[in-house]
Amino acid sequence: MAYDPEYERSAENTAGRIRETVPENLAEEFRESCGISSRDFRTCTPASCGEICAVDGSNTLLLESGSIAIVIFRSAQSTFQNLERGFRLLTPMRFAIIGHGPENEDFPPLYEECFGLLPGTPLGNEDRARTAGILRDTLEYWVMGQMAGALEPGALLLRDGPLRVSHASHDPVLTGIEHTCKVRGIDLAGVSKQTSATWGDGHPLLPSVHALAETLGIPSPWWIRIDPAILDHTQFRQWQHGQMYVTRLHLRARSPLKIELIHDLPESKAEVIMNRLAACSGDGRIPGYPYPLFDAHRTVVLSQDIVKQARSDLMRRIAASGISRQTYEILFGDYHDEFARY
Amino acid sequence: MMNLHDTDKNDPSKYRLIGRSVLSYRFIAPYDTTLYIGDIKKITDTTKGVTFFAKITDLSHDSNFADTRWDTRVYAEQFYGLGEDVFFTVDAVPLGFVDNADGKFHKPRTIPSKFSTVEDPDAEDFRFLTEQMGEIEVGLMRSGQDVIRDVAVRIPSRVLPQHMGVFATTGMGKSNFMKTFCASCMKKRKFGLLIVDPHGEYVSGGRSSIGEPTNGLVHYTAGREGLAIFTIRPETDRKKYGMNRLSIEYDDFRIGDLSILYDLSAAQQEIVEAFSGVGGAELIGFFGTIDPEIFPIRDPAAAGISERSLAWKIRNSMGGPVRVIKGHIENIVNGNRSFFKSQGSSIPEIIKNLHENRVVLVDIPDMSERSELFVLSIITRRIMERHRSEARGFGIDDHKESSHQVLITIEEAQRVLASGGSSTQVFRECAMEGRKFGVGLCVITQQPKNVDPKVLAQINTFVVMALGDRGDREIIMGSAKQDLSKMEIEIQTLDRGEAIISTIGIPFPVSTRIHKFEDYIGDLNKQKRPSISEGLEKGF
Repeated sequence: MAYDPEYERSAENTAGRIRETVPENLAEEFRESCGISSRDFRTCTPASCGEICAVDGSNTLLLESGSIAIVIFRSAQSTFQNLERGFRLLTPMRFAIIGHGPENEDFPPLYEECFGLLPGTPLGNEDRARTAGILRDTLEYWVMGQMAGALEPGALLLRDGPLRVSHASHDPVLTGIEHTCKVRGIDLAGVSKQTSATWGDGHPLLPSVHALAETLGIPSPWWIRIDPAILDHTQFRQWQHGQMYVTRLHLRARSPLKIELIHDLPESKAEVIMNRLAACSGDGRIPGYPYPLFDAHRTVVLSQDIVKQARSDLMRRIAASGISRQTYEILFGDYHDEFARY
Repeated sequence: MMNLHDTDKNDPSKYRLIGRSVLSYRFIAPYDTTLYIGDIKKITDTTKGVTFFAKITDLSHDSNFADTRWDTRVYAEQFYGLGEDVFFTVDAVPLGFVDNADGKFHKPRTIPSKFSTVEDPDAEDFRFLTEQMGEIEVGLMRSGQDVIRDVAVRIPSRVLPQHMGVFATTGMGKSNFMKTFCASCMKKRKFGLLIVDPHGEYVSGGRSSIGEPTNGLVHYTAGREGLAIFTIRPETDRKKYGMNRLSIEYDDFRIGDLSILYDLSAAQQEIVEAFSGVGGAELIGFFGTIDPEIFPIRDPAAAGISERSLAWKIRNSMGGPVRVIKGHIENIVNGNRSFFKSQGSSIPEIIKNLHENRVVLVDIPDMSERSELFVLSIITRRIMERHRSEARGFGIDDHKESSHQVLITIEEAQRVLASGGSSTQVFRECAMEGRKFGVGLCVITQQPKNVDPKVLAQINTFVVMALGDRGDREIIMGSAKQDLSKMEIEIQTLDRGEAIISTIGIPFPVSTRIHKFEDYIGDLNKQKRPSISEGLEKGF
């Protein structure tokens, strides 16, 4: 590529702005700003995992036109007893149309099918990715609800994601799951690989905690409770169901995880949960990540093969309904596919 | 109402055919399964109504992970739940298929339907094979580490005059195989089998190459009728085991036999050719009295050499070559004095027993390798002469030549069947044209690569035991009438007493656990002996 000063300046500027969020003395600044010391870090003592159930969901946009998008989604759970998988369950794969019109037409019947009543808040179509995610979350919460009612007392129910809803209609659902878990003696945790949480006007939380732990010489695995007061802000605070923790579950973990446990949990109880998570995070493929969640992900993931199959199944029915090839191409054809040929 | 499906009812990805071609099958199996090279698997194709058979030729580790280095990363200390995604990839070579409609076996000219089920076969599945087996039982069919109890491996006797090769390194069970083979021949008496034994192990046993005590053919008492022994042992031993005295007379000898025993120079070879039609007794008498120093004879008349005399035939030879030939003949006479005599030959009796389909054991314990070859070459030559003569009498085209079938065993066959040797003419003739006269060779060697490939190409029955040398394996795989190329790993990993038998009589190469001779004859001796009246026509 020929030298382009504008391009070089743009790349330089971007890298510089990123560097500002994670400065060289990130750990020092974080410690001074938030008052965290080595005493705040707790060491995990991996123990017996017991029964751990992981729930995950998957969605993907199958076809897109100017006015509508077709999404497929499903959810699954995988339950382990001391690292031996007991059983896996999978919901059927669902198609949904996002658009046209401001409100999603597939959301109310799906919600009713799962929870027996219509959602209190409609789901908008304006942000396709968000809408698809909320459709997927609907199935995921339903599976969590089913498992909360089915697991043995003492089990740990994991969600791939935060204990925080992204749509108002899910708030009572997660509240119900939380209640069922509490009544049945089941622990609940949300595990996030990434978080938008920042402190000090934009410093990302996970790299900061990790850098501080390194500076203080905290041996992995460790965990730390995060005081919400140190954070810049939290999205949808009104739908927040969990207390935030950060943990590094294995010596060779690629990065720390954000864990959310229910509010007002005694520290001793949080420690037990962290120990169980560390105990199931030693798999050599993804050290530092709870293996049941990895298994649930592999169970639910919509691979290229599945997506291709679903697209073919839908196209066959579209053709059978009388839509011509040309109309289909006008609706869903993508000139980028043509561009890619050259 | 939303519902959840259980995804773990079973694992359909394992034990189903995913191979891509007619000659190469593939399936996957759980990573903790015990599978062996040589295992035979049954592939049931329900859509076509046929059952395929395949033999495992290779096993490898594999996984569904996109990261091909998942198992070698430095932090890969422990793994959970490898169950479905880590597995063996199993490569197998097709053996053929049975059409369920008519039960007939066919060569693998088609391919099983995708995802056909792969299972373990049982003896009933091999009924077709049992029906195609021959008569000479040598062991049980092997599948991997196990044997299929009810499937005995029997070599068809009709193919044996088309030569048999037994290939194995020392200690892999050659002698046990040969004794087991002999016992079955004694039992069935389908052809005559000649063995020259310079170690005395075939008669009454001894010690195997790994030091175990072994039995001999005389211990197969129920089959004793099928055995004739010609020996140089003392009379007490002969009486004890009902053996005949071995005797070869001077006239059985021809000067050409020297070529097998000694490396002859061109000048010596000229003498051999000059005396090619001369009887053994006359020759031995001539060389016993002749003074080599008179050669070359410048003036035969003055030396009193008549034109018809033997000395006349070699009058131009130098004294040196004559002296050497004289020395060789004296050595032969003196070295084989225990059975090589001026008169009295066992050879007619040996051939008679062979033609009565007996196993004929020429037992010359403690004799030299040269004596063994001496006896073997003389008897082989006489058998070939006899069979040629019979064939000429019948006329070569009327197929009566097959009325007498004889198999001649040559141990360490590379000694006489190596490439380029014209000196071992009699064995070469046997290999190249013996089948026309009902004479086959049983070539035993641990160095097949040193046997003339033209001879190997004549062999139709291969008994391949463990061969450590790659060159040996390659020459065998290249010579066998059935494709052994994909069985190289199996040949390499054969254990003692195991063999792959490839013959044109059996539809595919069969892995075999050779019977332990002592156990086999123990069972045979326990079986009811046939009554003397059996086989006679009823009601005169």
